[in-house]
Amino acid sequence: MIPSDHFVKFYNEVFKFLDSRNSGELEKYYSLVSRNQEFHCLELFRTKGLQGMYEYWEHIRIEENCDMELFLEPGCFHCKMAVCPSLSKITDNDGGAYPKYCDHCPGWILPLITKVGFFAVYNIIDRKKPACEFFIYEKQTDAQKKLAELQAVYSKDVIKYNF
Amino acid sequence: MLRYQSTGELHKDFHIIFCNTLHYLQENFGEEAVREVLKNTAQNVYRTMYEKLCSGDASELLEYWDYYMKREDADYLIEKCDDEIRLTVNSCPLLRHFQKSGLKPDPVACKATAIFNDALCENSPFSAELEKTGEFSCCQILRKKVTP
Repeated sequence: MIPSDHFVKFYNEVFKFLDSRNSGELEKYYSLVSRNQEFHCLELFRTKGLQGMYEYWEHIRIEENCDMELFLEPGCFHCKMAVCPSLSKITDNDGGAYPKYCDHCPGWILPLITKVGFFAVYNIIDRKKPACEFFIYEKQTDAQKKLAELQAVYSKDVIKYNF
Repeated sequence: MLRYQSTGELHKDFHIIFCNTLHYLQENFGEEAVREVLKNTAQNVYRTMYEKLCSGDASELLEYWDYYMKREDADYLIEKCDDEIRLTVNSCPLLRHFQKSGLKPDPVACKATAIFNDALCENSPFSAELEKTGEFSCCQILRKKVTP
């Protein structure tokens, strides 16, 4: 059995395998992960909206031993990861890190957020550093404002959004 | 010495996406893809354990079994004798997590463990065997190959 602690190291090998196949295979796999996550999140997000998102990521903060802060404000949920345990495990890994490992997070989160009718902006910041943040808004105009703000500072390649 | 030691809480839902990923690889790329990814995991991610096994030393694997079975709160027994090591899993934490989540335990996890153990034993003096002994139980054996 691959322990749940080491799933991300297996995940990293899956990304390498898919990337070595046809282009677009990673995105198809992220869709599977997103559908898988619906089992855990969809009902919660649909019924409780931003509050449900806060509750889900609070549960993840504890179970995945994340050093992260969650902020719930009117119309916006903000998740700020100071030390990502997942990328930290990938960099401490004799198998070597898949260079775009971080992309799986917006890869599954954005389709799910779209499905529940919210607007998300994900800032990977730097794929070599285990820190990132994302913002989820009720209103597209607020998300667009955040997107413009981040694009003025960061490379377009690290900013992902769903609108 | 164990290469990776994890501490803190466990996110056991990873077991579910692990199995779903194996099905995805099987359905979209075939059996060889499942074997390739698990082989790369066994031999590259767990390089130190694999290299020790290749030189006839199962100590890191024994430590790995004990450390992570304990962490996952498994009911298990590890036995060691001159020519074999044996992990008896009486209640598999992965399959139990499926049950706890209201899902049917997925036997693809057992197949993955067999492939993973085979990959760990490749080019080593060991051969691996996995026997399912019940819905949530199995016995994993690494046996020294008999040399003529």
